[in-house]
Amino acid sequence: MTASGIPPTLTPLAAADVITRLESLLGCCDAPETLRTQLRQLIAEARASMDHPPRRSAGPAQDTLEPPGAQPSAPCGQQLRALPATRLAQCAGRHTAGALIAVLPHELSQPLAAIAMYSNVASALLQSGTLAPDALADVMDRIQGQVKRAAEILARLRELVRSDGAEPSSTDLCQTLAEAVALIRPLAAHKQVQLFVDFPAEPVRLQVSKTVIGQIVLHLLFNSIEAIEQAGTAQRRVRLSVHPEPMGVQVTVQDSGPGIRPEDAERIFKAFESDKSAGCGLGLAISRALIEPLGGHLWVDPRVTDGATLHLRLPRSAHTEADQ
Amino acid sequence: MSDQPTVFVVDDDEGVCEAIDWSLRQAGLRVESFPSAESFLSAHGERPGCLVLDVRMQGMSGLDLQEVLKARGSELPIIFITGYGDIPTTVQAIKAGAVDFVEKPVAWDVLIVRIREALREDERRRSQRAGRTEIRERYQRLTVREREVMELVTKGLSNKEIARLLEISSRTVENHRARVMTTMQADSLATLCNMASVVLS
Ligand SMILES: Nc1ncnc2c1ncn2[C@@H]1O[C@H](COP(=O)(O)OP(=O)(O)OP(=O)(O)O)[C@@H](O)[C@H]1O
Ligand SMILES: [Mg+2]
Repeated sequence: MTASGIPPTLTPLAAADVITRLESLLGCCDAPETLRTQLRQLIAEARASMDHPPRRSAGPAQDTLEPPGAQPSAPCGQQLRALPATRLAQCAGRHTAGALIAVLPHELSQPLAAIAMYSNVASALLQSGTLAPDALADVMDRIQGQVKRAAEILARLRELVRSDGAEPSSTDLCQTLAEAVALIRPLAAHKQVQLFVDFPAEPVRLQVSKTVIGQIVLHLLFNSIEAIEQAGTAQRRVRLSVHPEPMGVQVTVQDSGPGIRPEDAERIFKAFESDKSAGCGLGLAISRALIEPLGGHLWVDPRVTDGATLHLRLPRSAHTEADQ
Repeated sequence: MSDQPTVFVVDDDEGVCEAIDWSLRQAGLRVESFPSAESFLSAHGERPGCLVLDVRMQGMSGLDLQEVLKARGSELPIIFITGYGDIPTTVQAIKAGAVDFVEKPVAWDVLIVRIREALREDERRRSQRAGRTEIRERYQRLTVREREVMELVTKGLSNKEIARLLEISSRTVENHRARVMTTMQADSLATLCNMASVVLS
């Protein structure tokens, strides 16, 4: 096609695909140097895919417990992976921030409602002269408590949109996941979606970035809630579970939405692939780009036909033994 | 045991629940709060009062709870607390028999007024219900024949007509009729007709 250096015989890649990739690359990179490197990578990748046509995602012989093959990832996630780590972290932070805008009003409305109630009553009682001094101290304490809660919510949000948050540290995985769930709960309740968590009793300690894990899991939870909402399914539930394994830890998000067709299982990881009117199609692409450099995997479970199930595998290398 | 009614508050947000709880106590009300519909159901029993209920909750929603209470035959009045964008749910709740609703952010004085109305409504429903139970108990004490006479009398038949229908003497009908009036403690035919509508429905 018009893109120089790419032989027109590349059948596994649609021409439109190639153009999209090149365009998004041009949009993402300012330094011509990195652009060239990435173009080279893209071309190499395209050549490779000519030698090895992509595997079918729902092949019957495939061991479905494993992420689809040892092949790196959906090719188009590559453009994000090729971003310098700091740029990727920035993009991920912004994308999460965009999604969290939907959560913020629900999240903050509760402490604000409580504060409004306390101050409303206190001023009414003050006016009628029936508020005892110790009751005044009590209500001030209560208001303080709710203000603190609102501040904590904001701090948690800030942690998730940090653009310098990619530094790994010793992390209690379930604690981090529980915080993401707590953030999204009011939104889920508003959409009448029930959230269930299934965590092991033992703490799971990992050397990972809280921000990265939180962002990925939030993306997955958002997708599940959005899928349920869009399809208007009768069953409205999402389950988040953690399974320690000999080779690492597997985090699973399972929903009762319309599910993902096997032929879409890899496509949806490409950047800008979205079936939503207001979606950017970046959530999954960014999530994969965040986790693969750490040796992790993110994939759709093709066995599940009843709703969608996505697995996030965090490798053993990042898995330090629980403190003993 | 004190017979002051209880305001049951159910809200899954701990902060909001505490705020409502505290605010109602400031108005001298007796309050019990619950973090979920489920915990309320296992604790409530049949105590008099009213329910202040968040429409949207994790797990069993406010509407679900309303349905369960209804199925259990509870007539506890419900005041729903609704948030922005809850209009369709609110309409549904009111159709299902909720007494009232207040919007978030809740104005305290409005809430108190609504609660006092709901408590009065509960008292009214309870005394009506107690009356109905009492009437059914009295009816149980009537003989089969007396029940037949009661039914025909309240349908507007004369003693003579009843006598012919049941193939007994008018005199006997009169005796049965007198017994029905005393046992049912009805002072007039009109009262007896009201009672009949309770037991014969
Ligand atoms: N749980 C799910 N159930 C059904 N379809 C899903 C699910 N998760 C993702 N998808 C599909 O994959 C597509 C890509 O998801 P992705 O998160 O990458 O982008 P998006 O949600 O559309 O946009 P955004 O950038 O806002 O996240 C979605 O548009 C949707 O069609
Ligand atoms: Mg998404």
